[in-house]
Amino acid sequence: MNRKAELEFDVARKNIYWMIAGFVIAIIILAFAFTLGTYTTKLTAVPREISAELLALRFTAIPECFAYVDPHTQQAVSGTIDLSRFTPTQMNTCYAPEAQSGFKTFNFRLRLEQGQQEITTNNYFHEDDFTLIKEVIVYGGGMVAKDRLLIYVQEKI
Amino acid sequence: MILFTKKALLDDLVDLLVTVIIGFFLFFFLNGTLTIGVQQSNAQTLSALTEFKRQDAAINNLNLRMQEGTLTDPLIIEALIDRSKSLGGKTITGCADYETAEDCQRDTLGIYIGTTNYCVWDETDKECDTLALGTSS
Repeated sequence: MNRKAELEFDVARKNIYWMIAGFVIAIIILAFAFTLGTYTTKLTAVPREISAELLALRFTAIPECFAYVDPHTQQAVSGTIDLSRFTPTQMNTCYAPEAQSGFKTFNFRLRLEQGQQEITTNNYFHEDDFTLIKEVIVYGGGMVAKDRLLIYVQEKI
Repeated sequence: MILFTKKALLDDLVDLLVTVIIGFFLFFFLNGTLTIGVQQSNAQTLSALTEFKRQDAAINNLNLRMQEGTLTDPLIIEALIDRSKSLGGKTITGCADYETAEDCQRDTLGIYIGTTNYCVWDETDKECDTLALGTSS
């Protein structure tokens, strides 16, 4: 009689153990899968500084933005700012996120360190996340000078 | 019988606790290892970006000097780009890029150490000039 009861108890306790252990192991496996998923996302994510830098390349590289165009060759000179183009109107030609939902993407405030000019994109609300600095050559008023372009980046609101 | 039952249950409980604790630590160890790997990759990417920007700024400096006609030897461009360094967020490629008399006279970044040139501050134009050793302004 004792032996039978012992055997029955043994079976029952194993069942109870594996019910709880199965639940816990399932949670551990799920957590592991979640960790791997998050890891894959993080591994393939582009750092926001790189994305912003790539977007900001246009400001000093193409004539539709602020790059200086050599009058002899009619070619835009990379790494330059033409002060006559450094205007809000030109900014709208250069980088204009959608008016309604553009705040969800990158917006910029550009300022030349030695100059007074400052221009912003259409959905910029002074919520800076980080700042990029580009060393540029500035053309304006018949002068050529070195300056630093401070690019304040608002990632999203 | 009761004692035996309690011992068996306690045994199971210990097994379960050990499983949970090992799982918990394994999870955190794995998570930490993977996160550190990603953080290091990001740091390397940003470091490469900084290097790219330094080279870009050095090219800008040389471009300006070419326009001013002060870059006498275009063949040394590669060496000048490699030698350029950052000072207070500004890339210094040659003497002309130093903005203060002190940095200029001391050649703070040692741009011209081991070469036949040195930097001299020109008080009249408020700019830093490059001179060859053995000559003076």
